[in-house]
Amino acid sequence: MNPFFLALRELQYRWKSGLVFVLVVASVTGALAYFSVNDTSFQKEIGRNVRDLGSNVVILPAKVDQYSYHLEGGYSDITMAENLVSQLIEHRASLNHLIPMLERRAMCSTGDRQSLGRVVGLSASIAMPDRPKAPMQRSIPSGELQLGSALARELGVDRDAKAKVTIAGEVFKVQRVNRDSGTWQDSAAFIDLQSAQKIFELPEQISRIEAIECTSEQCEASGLQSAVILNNEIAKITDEASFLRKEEMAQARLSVRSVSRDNFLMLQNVLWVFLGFTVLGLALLNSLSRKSEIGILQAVGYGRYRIAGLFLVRSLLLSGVGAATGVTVGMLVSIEQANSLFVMTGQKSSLDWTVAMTIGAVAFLLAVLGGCVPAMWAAGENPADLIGRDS
Amino acid sequence: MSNPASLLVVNDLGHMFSNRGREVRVFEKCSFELAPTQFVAVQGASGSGKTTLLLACGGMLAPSFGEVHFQGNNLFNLPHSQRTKIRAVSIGYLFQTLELVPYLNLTSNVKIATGVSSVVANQWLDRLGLGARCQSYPSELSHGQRQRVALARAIAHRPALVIADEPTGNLDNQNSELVFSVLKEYAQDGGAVLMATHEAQTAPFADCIIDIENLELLKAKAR
Repeated sequence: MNPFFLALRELQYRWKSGLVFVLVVASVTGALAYFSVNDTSFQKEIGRNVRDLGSNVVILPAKVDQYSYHLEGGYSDITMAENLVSQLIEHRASLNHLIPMLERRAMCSTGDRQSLGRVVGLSASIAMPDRPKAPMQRSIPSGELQLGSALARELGVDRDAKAKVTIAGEVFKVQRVNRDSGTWQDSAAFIDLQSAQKIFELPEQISRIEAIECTSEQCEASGLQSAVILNNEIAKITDEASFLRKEEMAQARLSVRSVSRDNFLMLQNVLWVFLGFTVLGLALLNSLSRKSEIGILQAVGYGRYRIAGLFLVRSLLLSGVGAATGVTVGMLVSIEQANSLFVMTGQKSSLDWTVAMTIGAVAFLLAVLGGCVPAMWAAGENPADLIGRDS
Repeated sequence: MSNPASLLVVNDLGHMFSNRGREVRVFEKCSFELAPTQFVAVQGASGSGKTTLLLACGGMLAPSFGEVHFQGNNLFNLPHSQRTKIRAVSIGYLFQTLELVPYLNLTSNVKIATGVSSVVANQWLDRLGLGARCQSYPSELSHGQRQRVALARAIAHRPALVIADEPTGNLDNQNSELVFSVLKEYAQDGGAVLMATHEAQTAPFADCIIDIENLELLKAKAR
């Protein structure tokens, strides 16, 4: 008689035990799928939050005296060639979101009011070609300007007013007045980089490059510290630049991600172990309750492989249904919840078919392997020891 | 020397097991032969080793001593797969505990024996008075009816040897008579039957009776 038919009839007969098996596999795969999608969304959200804190690496001209730079509140008149940006990209430096800037202290005026401000020309953030990201800084249209809140107050520009500000004889339309940031940016005016290079007559020159480091993978692989990796990379590219690493921000960025990843890994391992043992236990219970039946089948000439096949077909059917159900439900629930849990990036959550297939396949294999142990036990027993001995 | 016509040859068979460190011998030096068309009954009190002897003869329990030759093969010198194949084709086993597969209907329960079609299974069920219950499940049957299904499964694939372990235990007289007569008829048709029993009722049906406790032949000479 066909083992598939026998397994189906057995499942029909012991549907409660089959249901428990499916529920266990579905619960664990569902939880894994849920936390997997959830973790990806969480990483995105955290990444966005941390990114919004600002850059954690500043590349300055080598000639800048860092003591004076800090004494001036992070400002220097010394410039370097703008093509360092393309060199960094060409050498795939461990950086992303590069924002080249040129800044000068200059008089800003509107109507009858004027004030000294920090005028910063900047470009949109540039992502490394192999690390595409949503832009951290969008470009400011030529001829327009964003005003820091304190400078706007000095110049008497309201948030909603369509004012114009003149800098070095060039007129800029106020695009927006920024909210208070509590930093030097409140006394700055932001324009596009090319306009700044033009009005300050410093073509293809920049004061600094702000960026976010991406050294965590290399740190893990090489055991080197981030600062060492960046130093080596920049030294290979140019001797006209040095870098500042905003240590606490960089560490916070690394640790918040690794804590989240480690947390998920631990949860994942616990769930896999739970699934393995539970499936093994359920399959064992099933085979213990079928001792007589196994004895009968052996007595009528069912070989070891056919007996093992019965249990394997059972595990295959149940784990397949359980894994498919769990992964589908887990993912859908996770995506549904992501919208409410993750304010900034939740909308971008989507089904990750690779994760779904991986979890489904691993759960399926684990459940089948868990079913294999009692199957092999059942097949290896002597029929005389089984007849009339259901547990 | 064994008779070349013998289907089953049992030589100096003995079995023992350990119970709380104590060695218990259930029977020893048991020898007999069984030829096609023979109906042999093994008698003895409970615990005398009848079931153990039958399991050994069916290739399901390796004895502690002696040999079991079936169709010329020493059963316990054969690999497991070979013994399984012999059981599938040439031996029908009727258990004392009425073992049926609970989730299969009566036809399917008979069909799990090798090579039995639905038609043949239903014919046997009909022959045993269960023709109208083919689609029923074991839980819906009485003890006697279940025993008849088990008997149908043991003989439906026309094995050379049917081993029946106290097949009429707990059966009423009518059912017992039916089981004995079907087994007797099977032997007369060319099959061999080896049956364990402790009932005197067997005597008229068996060609010879072996008393396992004294290892003597009560009715006819088996060797």
